[in-house]
Amino acid sequence: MYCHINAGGLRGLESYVAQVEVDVSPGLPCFDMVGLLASEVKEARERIRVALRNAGVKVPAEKITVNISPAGIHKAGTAFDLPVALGIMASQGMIPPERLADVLVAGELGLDGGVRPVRGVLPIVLECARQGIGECLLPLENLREGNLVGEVAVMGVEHLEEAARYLCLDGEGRKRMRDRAARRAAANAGESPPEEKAGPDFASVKGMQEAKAAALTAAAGFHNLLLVGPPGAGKTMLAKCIPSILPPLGKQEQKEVSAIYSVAGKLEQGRLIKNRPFISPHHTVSGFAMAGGGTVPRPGMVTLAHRGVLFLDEMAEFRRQTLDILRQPMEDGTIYLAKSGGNFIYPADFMLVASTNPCPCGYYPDRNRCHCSPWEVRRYLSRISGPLLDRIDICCTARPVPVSGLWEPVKENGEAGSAAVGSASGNGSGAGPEPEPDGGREWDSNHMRERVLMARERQKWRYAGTGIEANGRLGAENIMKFCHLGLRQQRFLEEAAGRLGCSARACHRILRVARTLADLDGTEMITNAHLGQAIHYRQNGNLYQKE
Amino acid sequence: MDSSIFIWKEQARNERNGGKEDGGNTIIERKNDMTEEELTGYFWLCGISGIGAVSVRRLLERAETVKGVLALSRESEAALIGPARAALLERAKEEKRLREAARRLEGYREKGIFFLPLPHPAYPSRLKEIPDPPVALYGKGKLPEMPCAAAVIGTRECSEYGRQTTRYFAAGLARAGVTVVSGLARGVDGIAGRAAMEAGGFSAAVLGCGVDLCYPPENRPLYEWLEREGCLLSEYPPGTRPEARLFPARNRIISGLSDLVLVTEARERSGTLITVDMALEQGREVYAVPGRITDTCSRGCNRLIAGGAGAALSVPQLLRALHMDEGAENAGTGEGPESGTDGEEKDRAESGSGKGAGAGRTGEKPAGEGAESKSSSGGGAGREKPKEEPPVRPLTASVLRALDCDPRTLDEILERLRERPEEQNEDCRREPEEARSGQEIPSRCAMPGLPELMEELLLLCLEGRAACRAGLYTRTDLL
Repeated sequence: MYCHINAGGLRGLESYVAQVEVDVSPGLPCFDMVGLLASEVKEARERIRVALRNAGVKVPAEKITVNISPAGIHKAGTAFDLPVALGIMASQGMIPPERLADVLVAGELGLDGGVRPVRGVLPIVLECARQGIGECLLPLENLREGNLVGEVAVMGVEHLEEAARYLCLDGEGRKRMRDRAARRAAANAGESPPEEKAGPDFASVKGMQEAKAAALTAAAGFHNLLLVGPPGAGKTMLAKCIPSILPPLGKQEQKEVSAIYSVAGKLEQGRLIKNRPFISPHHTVSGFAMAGGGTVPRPGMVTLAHRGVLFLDEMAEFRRQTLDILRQPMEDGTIYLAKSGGNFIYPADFMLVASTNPCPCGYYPDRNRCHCSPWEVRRYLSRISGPLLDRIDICCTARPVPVSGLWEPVKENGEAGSAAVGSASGNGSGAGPEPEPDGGREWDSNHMRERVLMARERQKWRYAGTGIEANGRLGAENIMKFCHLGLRQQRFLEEAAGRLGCSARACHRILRVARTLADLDGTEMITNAHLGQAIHYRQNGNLYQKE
Repeated sequence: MDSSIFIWKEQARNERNGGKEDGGNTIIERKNDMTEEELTGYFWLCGISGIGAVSVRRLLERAETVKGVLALSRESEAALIGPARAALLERAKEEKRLREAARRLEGYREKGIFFLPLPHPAYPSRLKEIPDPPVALYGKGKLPEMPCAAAVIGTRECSEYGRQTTRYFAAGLARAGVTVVSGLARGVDGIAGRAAMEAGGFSAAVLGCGVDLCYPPENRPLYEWLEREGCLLSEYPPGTRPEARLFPARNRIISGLSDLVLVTEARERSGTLITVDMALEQGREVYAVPGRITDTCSRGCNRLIAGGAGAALSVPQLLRALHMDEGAENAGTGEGPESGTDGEEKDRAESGSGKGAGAGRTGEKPAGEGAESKSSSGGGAGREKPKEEPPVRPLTASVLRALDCDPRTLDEILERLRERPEEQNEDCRREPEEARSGQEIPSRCAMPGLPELMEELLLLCLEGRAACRAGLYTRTDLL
């Protein structure tokens, strides 16, 4: 007898609904599975046979043929175990076939008939919603993840027998079982941990005002950032603080990022990812790990960092080929992978934060400590290729904070001073009151985050309907449209660009950053101070200066 | 041309003095002073592989001319330069080898490379006086015609201080009409050459490889500039690859070409000190730029001063040492420390070893004062356009005060601005009467935030009063 059942398959980050067709007909007893299957799917035969027997189901001594369609797509993963097993039961009449019509099934089987979790549940359920399939039958452990979508009724099962029982029921009975499963899942998960904080606070970084201002600007406009400085200057510490000032992920973005992590098998306890990812690969990372590798590639570092931060500590130590992989994603926001399993486009819209020493010993240009020859210095930095450096809008030099700067300064003027600082930072321009000696409260994560959010609001308002997300993603064609300069500013930029030898491309980057700086100050007008600051960040990027 | 090599030298000197009057002569025109045949002969002799400068000199001392060398018997050659070399020489005497030498010389000439044997009248006279002058020079560009020359040399890994002092001295000397000689090496040498050319002066570089090769490659732009408008010299035939052993020997040519050797920055054990030894052997005056005793980059210089070298404090002082002081005013380089103290400095510097260290110590002071007087008068770029005075910005004075020769980050500049707020304010009050009496200055000196500081620094960079390298700012108008 023939029957079919819906199953979910993954192809890269995308999912599709597959049909598991089962036919049990008279003939020599055998169990065949076809449909371009990977070895883990072919192995499912043995798992299913034993699981069925242990669940008390008699496998018929007949010819069993299973086809998973569309037969042209390569199937991988273990999510097909459960639908095949249920299909065999249905084709023997143990489950009424009409009850299978509106359900998608996914799950791995153990030999005892237990149902085990699979990865990529979130994209599968999202695909269900898109195709109008009303119900999903998933492993209990994946229940929470499946529920993130909301539009699809999701049932979590722990055992093959339980799954069969569920499918035999009608609408009312199923709902009761779903409620029970939900309660059980909640009990299993235990208490939900408190909202985790996104990285350490900027208040723990003393001094380094220049670097903090650079990080603030980068976060506000989603610009790429490069920190250069000797060892021990606090570059890594500063970079790790950046997530704490990034704006939270939007609803749609949360699902987007969670789906990627679901495919990578990194979605912890099926919780939606709310904080922006912060991916910090070691410098020995291979090109495949960075871009995504495999016949059907798993998401690489650039994709895992989508909508978040890709932090490359000691950037000059990375292999040059690995770094050059970043060029295309940084331009397009996606990575295009051509593999033997087909061509894949993965999202990779990240903010690059990199840190590097200026030379092999780390102390250039302090010639009292650094004995690296100019050639060594240049060779060290030339590992970061020019085109990559060209895509980094903000470059900032960090110097170690003197030990005396680590302690809180003794306040003589009390609270009044620091309150004034807050208001000064608000308008940011002109001769405001004297800021507190050590930067004070202005430079902790909460204040900085507020300013970032404000700047992002302004960008959202400005770019409404254009598809541009932030200043850092402004293309050359839009820069002139959105970065208006007054006559005085124009002349100022022209003069500076002429004197400093900036190309038109460099000017575009200067304008983009200046736009963000103006947004941070809450104004549409780009002033000379904004331009000056932007040029400073740009000039620092000229690492290849002649002696 | 058939007297001894010493008489040639005499002749050459006379001819050079004659040539100096009409001026503007290049080596190509002076070629007439030596017949083509002779030139080819010397080229052949100097180009025999296996026979070095010492052998050539011995042969010439005995045989007096190339013709004489050709006529020497194998036995007398062997007595002079040993049997092995004599065999090489005999083989080189074949007709086809001589013709080949002529062809090669022609080939070099087409490539713009000139050949200058020791007896040639255009051979730099100063170089002839040193104990072991190169038997021949290969060169590109044109020979220096300036009355005097100074070598500006130093470490390859120079600090910001070294970079600034090098630029100041090289540009100042070049502007006054002194040929700046250096080695086209990384660091100080390259900076000196570039600064001299940028100042519109003349610069010569002595290479440690063939003149058709550029080493180090990063100095390619300067190499090409010197090829066009300056001079490149080497004692090694074109095509010689740069090798470590060749470089110390070229140092004697650098000092030999110069009347004065100025070391702007050198570490304790620097290759530069080899040049200084050579210079002392050759009787050249040696000057060194004093630095702080804590800076390892300046240790070599300070030691030189302690050992009797002159402390180089300003361009006019060096010009006086070169007896070029009247040229100084014309060239408009009288911008160093106050001229009143200059005489003393010079005396002290020249009076020798005992006071050398003292000169170094006190030398810092006038330099600092000079800088301050300058900062208030507008400094580097402001000097060029005194007519339309730019509006005075409120931060300029205090930011300039917070900057110095050491590269500093923005954070450090901010810190320095905060450390001395009283001084800043005082500065604001004082500034108008002292320097720009006609200008009005905003009454309040505001403590700048980061954006204002960045803007001010950028403006200072555009005006040439400050410089930014790798995110660190230095002041450039102190000299």
